[in-house]
Amino acid sequence: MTNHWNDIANADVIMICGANPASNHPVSFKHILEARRRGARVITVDPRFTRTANRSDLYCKLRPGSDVAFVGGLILYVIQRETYNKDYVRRATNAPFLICPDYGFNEGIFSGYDPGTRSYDTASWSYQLDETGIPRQDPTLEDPNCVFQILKRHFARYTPEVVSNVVGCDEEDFLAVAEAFAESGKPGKAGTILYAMGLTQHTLGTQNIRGWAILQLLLGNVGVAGGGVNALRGESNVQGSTDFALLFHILPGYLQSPMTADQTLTDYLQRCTPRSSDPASANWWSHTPAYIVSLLRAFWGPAATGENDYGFNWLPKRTANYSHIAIFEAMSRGRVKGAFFMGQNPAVGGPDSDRETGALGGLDWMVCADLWQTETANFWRNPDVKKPGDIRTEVFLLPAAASFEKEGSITNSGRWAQWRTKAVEPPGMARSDLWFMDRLARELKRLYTKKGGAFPEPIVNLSWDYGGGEDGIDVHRVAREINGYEVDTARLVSGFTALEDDGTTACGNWLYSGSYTEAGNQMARRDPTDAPNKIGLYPGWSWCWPANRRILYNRASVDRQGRPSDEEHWVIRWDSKAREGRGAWIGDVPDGGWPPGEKRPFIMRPEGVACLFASCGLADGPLPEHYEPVESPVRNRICGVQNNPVAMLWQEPEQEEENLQGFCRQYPIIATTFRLSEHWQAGQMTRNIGLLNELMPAMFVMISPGLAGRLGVKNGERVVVSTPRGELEAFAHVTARIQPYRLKNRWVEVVALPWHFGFIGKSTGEPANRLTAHVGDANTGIPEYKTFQCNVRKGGQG
Amino acid sequence: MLRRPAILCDPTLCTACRACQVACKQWNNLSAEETEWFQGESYTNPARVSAETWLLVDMREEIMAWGELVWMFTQRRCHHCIDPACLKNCPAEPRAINRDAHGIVTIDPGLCIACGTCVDVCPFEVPTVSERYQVARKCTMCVDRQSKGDLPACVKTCPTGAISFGEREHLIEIGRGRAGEFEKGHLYGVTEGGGSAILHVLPYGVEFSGFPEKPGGRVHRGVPTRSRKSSMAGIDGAGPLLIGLAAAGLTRFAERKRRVRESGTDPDPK
Amino acid sequence: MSLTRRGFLKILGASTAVGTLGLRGECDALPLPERIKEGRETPTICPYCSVGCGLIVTASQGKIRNAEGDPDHPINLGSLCSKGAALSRIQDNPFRMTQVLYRAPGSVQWVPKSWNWAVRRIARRVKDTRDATFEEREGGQVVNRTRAIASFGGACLNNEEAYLWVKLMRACGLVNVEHQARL
Repeated sequence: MTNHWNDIANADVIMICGANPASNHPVSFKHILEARRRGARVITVDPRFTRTANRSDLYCKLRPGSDVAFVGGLILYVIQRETYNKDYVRRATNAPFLICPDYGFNEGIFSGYDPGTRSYDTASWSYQLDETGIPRQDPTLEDPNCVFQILKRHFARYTPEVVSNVVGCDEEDFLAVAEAFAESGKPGKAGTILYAMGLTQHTLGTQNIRGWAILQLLLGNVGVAGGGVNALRGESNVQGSTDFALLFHILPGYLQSPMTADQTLTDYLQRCTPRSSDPASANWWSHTPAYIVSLLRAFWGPAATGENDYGFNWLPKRTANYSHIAIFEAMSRGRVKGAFFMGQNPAVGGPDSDRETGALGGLDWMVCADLWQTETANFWRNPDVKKPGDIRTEVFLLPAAASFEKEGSITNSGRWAQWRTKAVEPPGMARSDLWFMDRLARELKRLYTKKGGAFPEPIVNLSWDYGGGEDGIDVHRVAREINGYEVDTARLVSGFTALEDDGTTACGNWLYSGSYTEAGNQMARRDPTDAPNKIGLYPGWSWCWPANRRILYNRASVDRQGRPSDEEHWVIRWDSKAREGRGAWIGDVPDGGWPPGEKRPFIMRPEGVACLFASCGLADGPLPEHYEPVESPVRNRICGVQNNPVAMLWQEPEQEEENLQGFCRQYPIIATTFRLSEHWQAGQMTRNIGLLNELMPAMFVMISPGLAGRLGVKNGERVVVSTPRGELEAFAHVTARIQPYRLKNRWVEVVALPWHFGFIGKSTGEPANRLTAHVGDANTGIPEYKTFQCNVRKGGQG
Repeated sequence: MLRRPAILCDPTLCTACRACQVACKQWNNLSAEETEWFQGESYTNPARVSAETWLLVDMREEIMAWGELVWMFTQRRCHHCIDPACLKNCPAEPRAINRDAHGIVTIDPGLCIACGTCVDVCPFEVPTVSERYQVARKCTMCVDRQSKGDLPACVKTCPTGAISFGEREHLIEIGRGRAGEFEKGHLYGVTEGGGSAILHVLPYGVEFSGFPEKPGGRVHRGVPTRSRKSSMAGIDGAGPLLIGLAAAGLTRFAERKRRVRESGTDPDPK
Repeated sequence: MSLTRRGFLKILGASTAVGTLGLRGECDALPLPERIKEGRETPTICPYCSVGCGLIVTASQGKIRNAEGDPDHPINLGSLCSKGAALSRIQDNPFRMTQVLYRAPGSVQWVPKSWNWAVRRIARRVKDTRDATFEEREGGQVVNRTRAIASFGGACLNNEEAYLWVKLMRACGLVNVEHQARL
């Protein structure tokens, strides 16, 4: 989230698209309804009439996979009716920037496409630079090559009529949403967008978010109280685990993981440190050298020296994509021999879960750490396995400690890192993951030190000294290493501005620098008083990255004199009388301490402004374009290209271009997956709890009354849902909360399946992900869980 | 404690997260019921309050005359009547059901003889004889928490303010204001059956709430009630009883669905 | 001593063996009369979604007696959803793992093992796989990695655990490091 949970109460319009906070983040509704009590309008756009929709002022249905069409229509609406925030767009976005004249967009394809490699050369998407290397601008926004004009041309096709035909909603519903949300572009008004996996789990996932980000920038809603682009994340610490880079492409603090081209630290810094010649750009990532060197010092301590590039080459280098699906594809080809599953359960949660479960059989060994028995740990005895004895995988299932049985911090969606203390001991032999990791690391170090082995240096030299505490490992020592310290004095740094690129500081994650300082553990703070601007910042409660800044990009909320555009809900303001007339910022921690007007507001971008047009960094285009999901019942009505031309495909798609009609006769119904309030993720944390099973005891499929009537299925009867990947049986939940979509002149049905169930636990059911496919977003590789084609028939054993 | 503590249930603020249902069981150490499927309409589960479920969120889907789909969330729980039928009819000696000075109606497990009279006479089908403990059980309005100055568990856990707690007169004022925002809005429990400590905002009137228009005396509903005989039958009686309840729930659900189909849009995909 | 019904229930209140009264099937609730809700109070943060609600866990004798919302917490102000309200049921749950379990290649069952054995054996397997598959170079260029080991998961780890795990896995040369954020 750019903003945070309490801040939602400051909004004037709340757009909830691709999220169901009433079900999946129920306590957020405290703040959503608080905003509504103060007069805000709540809008829900969703394929289903959800518990969230039920408490909204406006609801518009949307066919899964048509989000870019919807948001594209909104972008056109605010441009045509000029309800965008003109001052903000000029001041804080790249709207005036000129793009290379070679840039083009033709018949659904951006310039630079190579069909052979299914990829783009992004050179033609770049800025026109002046002699000093600064992007050229047209402040009038009239140059045909300026971003604003390109944007206007690009979205001209997304008219309300087209949107309605692609999305499957009524034109009036769309226009009502557009009108209500466009209100937030007025001075002093703020609109927020709350989204979750409903936007991301698509082959257009990244562009869906980009679309909403563009709209928010046009309306001047980023950096302000009650605004922002807010991802409602799914797990209690998925924000923290992302910040700490349990992902193939990054290192802690969103530093890039090394690639083969990075043969030396210098190569890496050359590739990864953005440059800007513009004195008005803070270009914060220019500090990359200090952050990576301090990280290497934290990893390898005194063994990381200037002479050995601080151990840079002890980090593994990537040549290819090693995202979730890619690893499972490699596993199913026998290329992965061992695997750890630290509380993840892909046999339920992974796409094409039967395929992933089958791939596990190719492992020589697997280690699962969990509170419960999981389908993944028990893959060798899942109901489809005829002879478990034929599976040669050696499996270790380690009993882990629950959240209240260990100590440490977790980071919520609003970036608040909150410290938890231990309330009770874990049961039996259960131990915290920290304890297991410490034991394993020390055993590996012992083995490599004593016996050698392949490239032993990174393990032998690994700095690993966290002794103490009742568990034999002191979590506070780890937290202090994460915060960072001066190597010579061991003094904790007060923040990331103290980090150096010369090896004199060590820091496990620059973003968390300031979380555990000489003043103590900032994450454990419990001061419930609000900041003077009374917008719910609670600066003394826990600690928030970066630098305890509660609202990101907050310099965009003030003009060049440091005056807030919203006097009622101001975030920061410049007090020119403070510090004996030298001036100071008050309110939230500003995005950098420079006086107003000195630096552009978006300090993480080399341009210094936010990108309506992404001149680099995205695989599938500088602007969002609607493509149909890889499996879709209709042809793309917006451009001539059916699917995202650079979507990640691991197998030949089942739905060949020419075979669309035949495929859709076999699988005529759209399917989507969702989560319930009463269950959580792959289910072990809730399906083993009677009080929650009582509420949601079984796997089911939501079916519209119309489809149920044609299938001859009554509520509570059994149905079978099938896709080319497999089929499952479940109860039919017949409800008017799900309705078919009218796509121009035909109706298309949709069914929805919760994905929490599997074959292990107190309550069991067939996994919805048996039906989903190994296809991914062009940028992130996130699976297209949210839309695929299926068929439904009456039947099953019950 | 408050002089006349009351609880205002406002479905217009409810998101049906059902934290109240779980928090009630968590605090009162009630068991999870074994459900195989939604026992009531929509996601409602279990179908009705019982000895192990003192509060539940009843979820109904209704397509209103004006074409709008309304998903209604109404709480089912003891109303803590001012003039409780259960109390008046309790035959135990001394009486097992009491209404204290604050208006909270409780069943004393030490005095209850598990005769099932309260089960039969309650207009809201609330008290239920526990097969396990051989006493009638129901919501206590968390009198134990109140006496320590805490909010009832359901009130405290509610994230949205759909359940609020306060002096009855004050909540009546607030509830009337909320109900007044709807054309057919009604505040239930002010006068019904002589009034109660639990008040329900009913935005679409009593008609869609599932509450009796005029609660009072014994209401025959065709749902098996636990007579003295069945309650004394011990655990063996529990099986058929649960099945009976489930069947009743599903029948009612089927009727509801027919209504939705008749009034709902059912476009032809061809 | 003759017991009145009232007295009988009072004694039940002091006993934890009420479970034998005839419960049907599994019961994850404590019997009615036991209402020990006092104990040491520890603030914690909910392990379910990412809102980050505060709870107060009340425990005595190592057992959670109650868990409910932290009224001081600015996000939830004492409230919780159904999952958070059920937090206490994670402890003392018959489905919780309390032993290290091991399934040998080709076996059809789990067998309990000690931590020491498991840690040593896991380290051995990591080392053998890493040593057999380590790539120092690819096409003449330094890569220093193994692609034969993968790590999944971590959204339920604490930050300090996530950090140590990344540190250890990257030091072992893993490029296959992924978790729930990708899904």
